[in-house]
Amino acid sequence: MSLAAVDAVLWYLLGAVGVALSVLGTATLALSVRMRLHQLEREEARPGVRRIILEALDPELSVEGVAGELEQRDREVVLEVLEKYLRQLTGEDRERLREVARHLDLDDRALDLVESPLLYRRLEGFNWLTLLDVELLEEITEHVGDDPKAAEAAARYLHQDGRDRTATETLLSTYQRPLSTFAMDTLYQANSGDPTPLLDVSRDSYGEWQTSKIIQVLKVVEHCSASVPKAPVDWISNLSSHSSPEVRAAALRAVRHRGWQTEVRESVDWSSVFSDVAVVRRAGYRTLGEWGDAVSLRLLSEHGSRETDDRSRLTAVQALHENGAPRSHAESEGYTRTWDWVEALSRAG
Amino acid sequence: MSHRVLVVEDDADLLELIRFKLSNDGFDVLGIEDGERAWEFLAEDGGRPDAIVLDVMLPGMDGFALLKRIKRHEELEDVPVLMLTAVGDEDNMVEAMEVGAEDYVRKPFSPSVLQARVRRLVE
Repeated sequence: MSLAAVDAVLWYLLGAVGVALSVLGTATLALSVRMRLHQLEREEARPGVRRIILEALDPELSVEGVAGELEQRDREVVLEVLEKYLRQLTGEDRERLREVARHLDLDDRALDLVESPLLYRRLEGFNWLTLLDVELLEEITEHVGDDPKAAEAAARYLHQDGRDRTATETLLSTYQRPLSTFAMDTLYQANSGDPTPLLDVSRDSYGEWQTSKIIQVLKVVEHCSASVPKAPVDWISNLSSHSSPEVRAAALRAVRHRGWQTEVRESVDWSSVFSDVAVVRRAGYRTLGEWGDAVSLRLLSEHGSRETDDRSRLTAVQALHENGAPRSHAESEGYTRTWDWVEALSRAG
Repeated sequence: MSHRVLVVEDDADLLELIRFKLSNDGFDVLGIEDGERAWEFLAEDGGRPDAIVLDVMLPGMDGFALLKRIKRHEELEDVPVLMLTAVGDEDNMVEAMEVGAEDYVRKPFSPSVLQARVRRLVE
């Protein structure tokens, strides 16, 4: 090919790129102008929509009439304002707004949304189901598909609907993967007062979980109420022989508020704990300190004084000190120094 | 004569809702969306309302800063202030009460409860 032909091709390509860029730039500009106009239209419509929605709070006006007026307005703006008010309000005003939403068929819309193949549509559906307090479909968890985010949203909804066991099952039985912070919070909210669902479901499912999920669940158990006498905690004792030291330590921490249950206290094999790695021993000392009975304090004193790991020894001595246990005779220089340190810290406030 | 209530809330939807509910209850309601302008109104225009409903989270000057100024101002210190706050703001609420807020309502809230509390503040 001659040099002139190469030049011509290059000029042609350059021209084509220039035209493409111009078209793209013009299209982008047109789209942003259109979006801005749409936004301005919505901003302009908002006060009118708000006024109509607020009228619904007047008990002398009919909800049907208000809903009829809203049907003539921009649907997106109506949804935005209604969602805002449903989130921010409680009491009879919220109930009236829910009635308005039902007249606008937003409950049916929410149920349709949770069946959408698109995740963000399903999440929006769960959000509206929660806001509208829609009667739950039994098979709701079938709609979560394979996506953990949808399962987490469904679980939150189930919890807010008062169905804590189903919420817990959704998070713990359906997925073996670790939980997100949001899911852990839902698990805690659903079980903090009575962790029986959490303990029941975990007992049946923990064998299938990844190590990190077992640790997460034990963490939640640790912070839930420990005052339910018949809550099944026997499976936690089984975890004291788990291959992961983090799980063994988490299992010890999970029962630290359950020292009032004799069977829990007796289920721990302390000789294994004291011959385990430092992270497990530390968890053991902390738990003994929480229990604080005579046997626990004796174990703490005996093993704390022989402890070779500095951090673990500090944990043991702090636990003894917090329980008002007397300072025992020094068996090692390290033990004496640790007591000195803990007492100095206590004096410093 | 109707009582005058100043509502300082940066969320226009909530501000309108509170204005609507309090107006229906016979109050003369003035709404302002930021702390600085609310302070200008109170201090410079000599506007002395019978009660103030004050959101904690505001652009510019936040609710606490405005509350402190109100309670340190000779002519405004006895105007009752009701703080609007989010759930979980316990520490902030303790601080607000220590600074001198007369009452508080947590979001999400019942507008009827808010009406009743404002009514109690002005009576």
